[in-house]
Amino acid sequence: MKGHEASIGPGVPSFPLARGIMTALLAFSLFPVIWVALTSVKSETAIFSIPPKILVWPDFSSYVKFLGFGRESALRFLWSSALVSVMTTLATLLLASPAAYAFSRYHFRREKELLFLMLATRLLPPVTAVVPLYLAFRYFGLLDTWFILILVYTALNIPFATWLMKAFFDGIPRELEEAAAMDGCGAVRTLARVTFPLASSGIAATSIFVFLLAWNEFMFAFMFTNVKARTMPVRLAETMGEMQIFWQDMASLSTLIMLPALAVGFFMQRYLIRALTAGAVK
Amino acid sequence: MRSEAQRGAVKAARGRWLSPARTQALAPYALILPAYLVLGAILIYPAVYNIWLSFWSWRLTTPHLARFVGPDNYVRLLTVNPDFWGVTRFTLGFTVATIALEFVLGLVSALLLYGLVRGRRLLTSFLLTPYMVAPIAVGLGWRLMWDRDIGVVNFAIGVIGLAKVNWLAETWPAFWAVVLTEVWRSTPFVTMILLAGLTALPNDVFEAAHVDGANRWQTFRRITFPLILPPLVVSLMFQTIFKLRVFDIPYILTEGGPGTSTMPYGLFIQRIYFRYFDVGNAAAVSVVLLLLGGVIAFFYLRLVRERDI
Repeated sequence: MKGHEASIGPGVPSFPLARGIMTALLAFSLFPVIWVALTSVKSETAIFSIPPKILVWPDFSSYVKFLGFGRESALRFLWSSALVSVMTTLATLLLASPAAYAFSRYHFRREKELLFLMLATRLLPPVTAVVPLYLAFRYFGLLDTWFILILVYTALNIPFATWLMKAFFDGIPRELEEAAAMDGCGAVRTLARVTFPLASSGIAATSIFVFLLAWNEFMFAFMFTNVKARTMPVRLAETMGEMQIFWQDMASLSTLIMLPALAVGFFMQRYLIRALTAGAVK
Repeated sequence: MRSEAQRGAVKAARGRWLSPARTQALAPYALILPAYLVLGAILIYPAVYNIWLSFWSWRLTTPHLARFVGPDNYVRLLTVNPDFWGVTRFTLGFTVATIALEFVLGLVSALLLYGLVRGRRLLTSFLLTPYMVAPIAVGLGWRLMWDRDIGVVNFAIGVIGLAKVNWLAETWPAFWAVVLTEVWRSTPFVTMILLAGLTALPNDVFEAAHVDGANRWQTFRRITFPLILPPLVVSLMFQTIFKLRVFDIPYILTEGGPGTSTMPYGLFIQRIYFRYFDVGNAAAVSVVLLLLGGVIAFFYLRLVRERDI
């Protein structure tokens, strides 16, 4: 951006100022993440030193403890989290994509009301579901199981996933499906060979969004699980002891939770942004 | 007028229960049914059951004493409960403060990202980072940074020469610590919405403004801002409703303290339920939260309709 061209645009601040603000924003965004990762390889004494140490001889004892097979291993919490997140993603796709397809392709009685009802459930605060669900799950003896976490996360994600997938189905020209049908494809083959391949970027965007929400969720996991189905976020919260916080454990568990999420976000950024901004921009 | 053959076909179709026409008409309902069953069981039923529970006096410790008490829980909540108004004040204050800050920071970030010629993808990734971190990890990471003795925030203000602040244990510092932590986490969402809005704008309006001699500020105020208002209002509605139900970050940073000065509704409900086992009261607070969200949605939707945005 140079000369007069800089002033053509939506009113972006001029360059030297912009560079300064941008640097500050980057530092603000990245510093906490880097600081937590750094703390995870600091020994307790290094963590407590003032002024804070930046160059430390890395101490990986916390990772060895959590990623090993010993008594303190965190592998089963990682496994819990991975299993619940992947199953939630699959279940959400399985339930939301037929619904989205129906809203996109068919015209039926009460279509508008049903779609509105679905979107309105997004406005229900999840925390209000805690008490009735807790009572119900206790009654059925389902507390502390992966099943209820998958069920709850799926339900929380269905409205948004349906909406998102509907937008992608709407973007596929109906003529393509009709052409496939004319060439002798049955309904199922048309779906499998034409519609779903064309909607694949929508499926990717939805999957990433749902996966991240399930991977990061804390409140329901905290209240509905105890021993068997505990996920990583719940284990992380336990580093807050009665008297003190185990900072190095906290930082290394946080890093273990962050890494997959950041990797997904970084490599699938395009899809994630499409999911985040869907609906806001037509 | 239908031909004889068509009438025959229709008749034949009526005869069988699963005629092709009937199948075609029922197909959409069959496709949406599974999703609605799950939604009904996990989200809609609890919401309705909650309203019912809120009219009962019921403690989990003494279930045999459960009885229907009508609006008692609400009356007690609004008049007797020592914490309810404090919790309400914090929840609303937190919502207003976070939304305002996120909006300003998000707008600045989006404009800067938009103005970038090179490296936009990479910098977008960097600015998006906080949004991908689990809120629970955000809370604990920031708790380390806000710590009075070993936190980098106090170290930084010490370098400038200011006195240490006990961030998480004093009323106002705790409020701002919770607000800033939440702002850090969810500003990227606002940034992305606004950036998408900016990217979707047609370039020729800016060229026209330039030809007419508008400066940067005028272009922004008169053209850019009105044009990105519609996506903004929609995302503000969702952001507001999500803020009202905040849970993780205050729970981790302050556990609602000192006292109840940083306690949002979500944490309040959790505490009434899991500490005092008071189902009826917890349900009543849930209904208040539900109504608050409903009022805000209604308000925003009316704004959208009136201004046709």
